[in-house]
Amino acid sequence: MAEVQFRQVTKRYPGGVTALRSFDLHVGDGEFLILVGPSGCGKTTALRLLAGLDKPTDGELRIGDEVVNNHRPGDRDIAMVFQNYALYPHMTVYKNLAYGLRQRKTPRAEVDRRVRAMSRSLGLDDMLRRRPAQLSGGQRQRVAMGRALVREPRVFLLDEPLSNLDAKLRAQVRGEIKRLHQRLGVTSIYVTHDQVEAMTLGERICVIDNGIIQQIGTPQEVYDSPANTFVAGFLGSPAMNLLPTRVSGGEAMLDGRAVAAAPPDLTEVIVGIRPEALHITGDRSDGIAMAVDYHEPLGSHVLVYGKVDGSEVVVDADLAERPKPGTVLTLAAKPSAVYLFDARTGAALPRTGP
Amino acid sequence: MNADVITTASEAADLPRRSRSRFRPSPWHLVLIPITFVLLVPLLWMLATSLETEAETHRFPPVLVPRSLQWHNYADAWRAAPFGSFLLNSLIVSVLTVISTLVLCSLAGYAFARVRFAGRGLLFIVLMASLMVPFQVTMIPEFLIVKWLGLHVWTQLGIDHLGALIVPNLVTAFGIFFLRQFFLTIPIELEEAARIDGTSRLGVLIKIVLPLSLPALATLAVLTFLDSWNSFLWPLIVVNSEPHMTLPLGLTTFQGSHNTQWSLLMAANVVSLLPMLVVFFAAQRYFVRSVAGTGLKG
Repeated sequence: MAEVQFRQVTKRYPGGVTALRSFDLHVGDGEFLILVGPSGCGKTTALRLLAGLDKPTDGELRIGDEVVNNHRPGDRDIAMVFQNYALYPHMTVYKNLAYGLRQRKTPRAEVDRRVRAMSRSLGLDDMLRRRPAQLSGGQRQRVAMGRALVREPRVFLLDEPLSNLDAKLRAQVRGEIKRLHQRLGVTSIYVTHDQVEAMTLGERICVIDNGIIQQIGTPQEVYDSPANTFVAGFLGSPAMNLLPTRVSGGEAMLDGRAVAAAPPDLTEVIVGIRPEALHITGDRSDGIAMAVDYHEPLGSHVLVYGKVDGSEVVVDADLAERPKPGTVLTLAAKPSAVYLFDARTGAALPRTGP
Repeated sequence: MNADVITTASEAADLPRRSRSRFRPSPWHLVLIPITFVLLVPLLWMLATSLETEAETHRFPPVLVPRSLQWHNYADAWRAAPFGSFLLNSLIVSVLTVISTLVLCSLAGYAFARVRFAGRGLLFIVLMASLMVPFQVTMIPEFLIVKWLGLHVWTQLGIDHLGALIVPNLVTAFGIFFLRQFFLTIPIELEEAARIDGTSRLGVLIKIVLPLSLPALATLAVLTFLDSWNSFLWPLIVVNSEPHMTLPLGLTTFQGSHNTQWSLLMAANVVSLLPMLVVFFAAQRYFVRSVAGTGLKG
């Protein structure tokens, strides 16, 4: 096991696409870190650079106290789970699991012992003689995990390992991955575009957009105090409402009402309020008016979509009554739940007041 | 109402059996059956002639069914020429050509498919262009090269030796192209996973890529074998002494300038055809699949 460091790593592909810019990241020994961002943001590139499948244009990659820029993938003592699993189709499950160990000249008896222990802990005992084509999606996924873990690598890399599973299996395997990490404690880096996976799995999450790290922190930190509008809009389901407004008299205004104190030097800010922080009040005189467009009942609660000052707003409401399109609802939020962002840079503004 | 339900159910039960049946008439049969006939007639005629008496072969209209089967034609043909030596030469040349083509074309094809190196695109275009040049254009330079090899490198590679039949065909542009196309269809993640598992570049080719390319390798082996076994023009140019002749060349010794013993020639032809038929049917399953799959020439 080891810690991992990206130091000022840049990756430019031939053809001029820059996938990562001055990427700085430190992953602690035994930590479970999530790289999350929209597709094409550079998160998979970061993983491939660490695995040695691509070479960085600039910067330094460290595993433990070694610089691994020029190490071959096989010499980095890492293991990777691919999105499509990449199980060797011409080998049985047993041989798939044993392959990496055999490549490292592990004695046959030791290979057998470790393969059997791993297959037992993943419930693959009955499938050792089968080929990947004879397995279900969930079983293939487990073989892929097992093949990576059986080598007891220093770093465990996962590239969207759940995206080929159906929703129910995904939740189940998510739990298995979490348990496995708690038991083995391998330094793990997990790439996903799914913010639910990011929030539920990670000890820390690293939000990336356009090849640049937007924010690193625990899921709660990133959720509670997003560094900018990108992070605010990316995490949380549904995402935070972001409403561009004017500042008047040192206050950000919504529907003609002051909602938060803004820095005096700014004329335009973006107000951010999470759907679950908004509630509907009966009192017309004390709130923001929203014209309802439509709603999505989710059983335990309702998502109400509408417009405030011409911007789209979602409210996570606990309503017994379904609001009809065109109805006007009055919304209120605690001042502590209102975020302000600079309209030009998108950066979060320091929060003032109570 | 009830009866309707029963018929539908029994029809449904019939369906899988019907779709499994091997013969389903289609309009294509109107075209394919005559073509098959046209292709089979010369073969059957050859077989018939090989079992006729000398007199029957000269009759007109041709005798298609011999009165009595002259099996001794085969023994006569075998004795009439050093047939065993022709067969052995053909086998040596074809087998060595097939082995070296498979090895060298895999290496080159893999490099063109997966290894990034300067000038790869340009080299590949040159390789493709060489496919368009007919053999007749290059045979004289090739002859001169082989002659030079025989004089300056090793006699066995030169004119009138088996080496002259093997060396120019050790590797083919078509084989490189054919395997490259197949290698490109193998998911690259498999190779990346193997590299992370500690496999070298060559190890990836041998342990991952080649086992997954068996259909393509079988196809290339058959195509190369047939090509080599049937090759006539090149052996005619470079070999002129009987001990180094391959079958197609040796068969011409049956055709004299004044008279040809047709029954013996056809018996020899039948024998020379057998190895090809064996190879073809053994690999047909792979062959059809991979040629159909890649949309390449057959």
